[in-house]
Amino acid sequence: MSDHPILRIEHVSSRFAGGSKLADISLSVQRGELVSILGANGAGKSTLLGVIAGLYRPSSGRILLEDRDITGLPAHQVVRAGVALAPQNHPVFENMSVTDNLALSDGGREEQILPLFPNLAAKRQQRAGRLSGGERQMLSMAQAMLTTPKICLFDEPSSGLAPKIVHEVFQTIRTLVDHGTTVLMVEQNARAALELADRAYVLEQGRIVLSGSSREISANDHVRRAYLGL
Amino acid sequence: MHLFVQQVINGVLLGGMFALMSIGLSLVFGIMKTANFAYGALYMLGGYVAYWSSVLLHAPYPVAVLAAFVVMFGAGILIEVAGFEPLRGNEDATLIFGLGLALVLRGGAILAWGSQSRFIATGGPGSVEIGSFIFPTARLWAGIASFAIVGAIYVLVSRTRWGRVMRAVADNARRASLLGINARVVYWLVFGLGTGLSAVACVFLIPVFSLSPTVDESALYIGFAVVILGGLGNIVGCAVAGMILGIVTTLAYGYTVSTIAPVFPLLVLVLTLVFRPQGLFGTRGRLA
Amino acid sequence: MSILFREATRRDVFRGSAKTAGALLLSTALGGRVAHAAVNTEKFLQNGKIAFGTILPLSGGFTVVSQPWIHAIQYAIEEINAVGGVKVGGQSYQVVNPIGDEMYSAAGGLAAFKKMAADNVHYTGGYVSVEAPAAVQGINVRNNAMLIEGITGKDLCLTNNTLRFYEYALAQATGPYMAHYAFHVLKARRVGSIELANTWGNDFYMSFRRTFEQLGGKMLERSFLEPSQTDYSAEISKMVNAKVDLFYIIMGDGPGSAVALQARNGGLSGIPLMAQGAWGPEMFQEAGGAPSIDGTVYPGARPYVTWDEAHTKLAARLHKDTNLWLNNWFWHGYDSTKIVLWAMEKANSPDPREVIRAIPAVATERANELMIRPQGAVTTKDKGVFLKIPMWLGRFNAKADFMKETALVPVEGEMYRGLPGWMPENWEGYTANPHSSKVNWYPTLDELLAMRKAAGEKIVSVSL
Repeated sequence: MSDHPILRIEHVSSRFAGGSKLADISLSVQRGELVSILGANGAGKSTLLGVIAGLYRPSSGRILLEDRDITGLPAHQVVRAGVALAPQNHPVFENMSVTDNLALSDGGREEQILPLFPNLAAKRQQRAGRLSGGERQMLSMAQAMLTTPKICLFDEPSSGLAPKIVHEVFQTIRTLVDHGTTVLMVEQNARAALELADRAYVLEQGRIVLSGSSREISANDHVRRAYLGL
Repeated sequence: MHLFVQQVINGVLLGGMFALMSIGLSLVFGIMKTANFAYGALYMLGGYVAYWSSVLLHAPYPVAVLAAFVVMFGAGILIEVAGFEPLRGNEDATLIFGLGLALVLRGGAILAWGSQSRFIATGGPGSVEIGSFIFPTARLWAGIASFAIVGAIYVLVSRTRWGRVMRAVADNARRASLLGINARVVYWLVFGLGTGLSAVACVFLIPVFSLSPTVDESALYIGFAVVILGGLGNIVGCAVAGMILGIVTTLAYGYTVSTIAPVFPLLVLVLTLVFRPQGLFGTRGRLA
Repeated sequence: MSILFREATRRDVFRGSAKTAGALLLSTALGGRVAHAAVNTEKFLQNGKIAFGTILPLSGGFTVVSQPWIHAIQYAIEEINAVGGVKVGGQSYQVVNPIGDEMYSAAGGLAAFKKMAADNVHYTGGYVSVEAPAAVQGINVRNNAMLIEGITGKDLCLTNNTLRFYEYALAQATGPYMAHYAFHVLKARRVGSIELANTWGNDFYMSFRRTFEQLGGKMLERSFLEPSQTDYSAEISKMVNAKVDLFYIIMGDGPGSAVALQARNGGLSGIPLMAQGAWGPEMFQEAGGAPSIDGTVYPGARPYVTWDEAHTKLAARLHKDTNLWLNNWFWHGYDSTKIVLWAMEKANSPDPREVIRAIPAVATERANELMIRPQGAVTTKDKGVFLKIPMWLGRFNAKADFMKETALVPVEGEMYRGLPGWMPENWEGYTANPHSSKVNWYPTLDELLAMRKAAGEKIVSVSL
């Protein structure tokens, strides 16, 4: 680990965050890394992303983005600081066209970003409400990318999607990372997440119980039993 | 036949006025999901801003309209920040705050300015005749203003970047905030705009209905009727619903007696809600 | 409630009376106790003072109506207190003036009345709605409390009630003169009308119509309005279409001026307007209102058409206190309060049953001290007392300085100046059931004059 991670979370706890409880969480993400957070339902994964993105305020601890303290900033300011969250269940603005959806966050980078999402390019005039689940996830991620983030947070990108589509989504995430995007991802599909990620953290009942490279985590007995079904 | 056509013309003009009365309410309702029961009182207050700037500062009519818009835009933001924003999500509290504010504003207006009717003279002839049909000038202007504002709001909401942001916040404020949109500020501006537009509506209707602290009632009732009929928050629906209610009201008064005439527009409203609960143009969450 | 005020619609009355029915039942139990206690003369005094209560709306749209009225009653009482109060049984009593909120509803008026009755208030004046006095009329006699009010039309004011004092003229008496003026002076032949949809509006319309049609004129497009109505374009277009040459607006206050304004802008710009109801200076104080109702012909009592130092003084005081001008409502409260308090001295009793009998004598003897110059009063057997007030037809003068001069300039023609604003004492309406079909409820001018002649009624001419 280098000394200057993009995102550093120090001793974050959250009790009444509208989500699950978090207890003394510390983690960090380096530039260009893809980091996964594994955990069961209710372990606090989405809450953690929500706290980072400014949707919930932590009860203690600090969140640093390249040494800038962003703890407690409202969501829209966290986005402007450089953290983009693509929320769970890929909500998009259903009554707007894909183009309008993208335009909401466009900082003039559409030309660079859109080629990474080939499925969307063909459906730009469609109403977002008529997109398939996978396309919505793509749109949601593209929207996040268009805010010119320093780090992207993806919350359960595979949830509710058919296996074939899940594969496509993970491919896209891989492509984004290969193009230099830093990603912190929460995922229930532990196998895919570990295959994809450089490093991983395991969250249980609001605490980080394990961390390390994907290889180390995959080899852990507890993880093999509880998450990989081996 | 001639009389019937004249009554339809009356109805269209009244419909334009109804639409004008409800645009601000519709905007706030559609984007913020806030049922603002102080709408009528704010409408009335806007009328007084125009009245006093016309009387005390001798402002010409267009300046008075502008003054009413600007002052009530600011007042709207203040009320949103101090009142509706902290209560957002609590519908009962929002309702009670709105009703309470309306009572305070109306009582305050009576105390401060008395309950007599006020009037702003616009000069010029009272009516124009086209063919053998009569168009009262003030109503004509109100109708023109109505369509201009509906058109402008439509373009704003559906064609501009700002409108896109408003629609996004209307649809899902939290999701919008994750794209860097400050939903609070959007709410402030929308509430300010809605309140400002209600003031403009009131000023345009003073030459027709005069102004007194009790004009708030009809503005509130008509506003809600139009907004519900048109489909919550649908600006075009506002214009069409205003038109329908205007024509039905006028024909009812024209061909029945005043004691039962008010039933007919209500009947239209009720029947619409029975067969189309979302209103004429309402599709869930759709704005323009 | 009063001839001069915005009245509620028939529908409102029905709705109100349903609510009132419940309240009445309750009041039977509560009110009964008070009534028994009230016979003792001691009980007419509240801590050694006589109470004269005001029941009027204290908030809402009717404050423009109620404010001058409330102040008028208060000024009259202050004037009487200043010269030693009311002298009864060798003692002088100061008069207190509790105020109750009518809330423009039956429930509000009834609640205010019952509170006062429980506090030994035996005189209540005011009442601007139709509902409130209609409800109170059911229990005021039982509580031995005098009701001092304006008129509301025969169906409500010719019911039985011995403790009711009407301080204003009956529609039936002035309507025929309005018709006569419309036909002979304004040369109207086709009159369109809009009236408040209640018994008050109906009385004016019918009494106007009988005479106007007898003269050879036509009544067209009879229309109705509700107090809550704001748009009259449909009715006005009908008038334009029917080519009416005079528009008769049987409605006062805001809706009345709104009708006038919308008529002027809706194609009736050139024809004369006639009006009934409360048309005070407020109605056309604003630049936009003035041209729309300037010149409107309207009947008023003497204080509206004359102006002296007393007017100037009261106008200044009222304007300072309320920012309003002297109007029809003001005189209602001002003169009738004085009449009642003087009648106590005349009867030498604070008991309303004796006081009401003294009103006709006071109204004759002290007429010159009053602004309205009544010519006595009609005492009916069981329907209360009706003041006999001469009326003047006048035209609104929008350019008048309302602080210094009258807004209502009397029209030319002897017969329209100081005409009797009451029905002759031999009119069968004073004794009949108001729903009886045998009575000529709306006599023509000729029939009226014949009745007066047969009654030997002396009409003292009143010069301004």
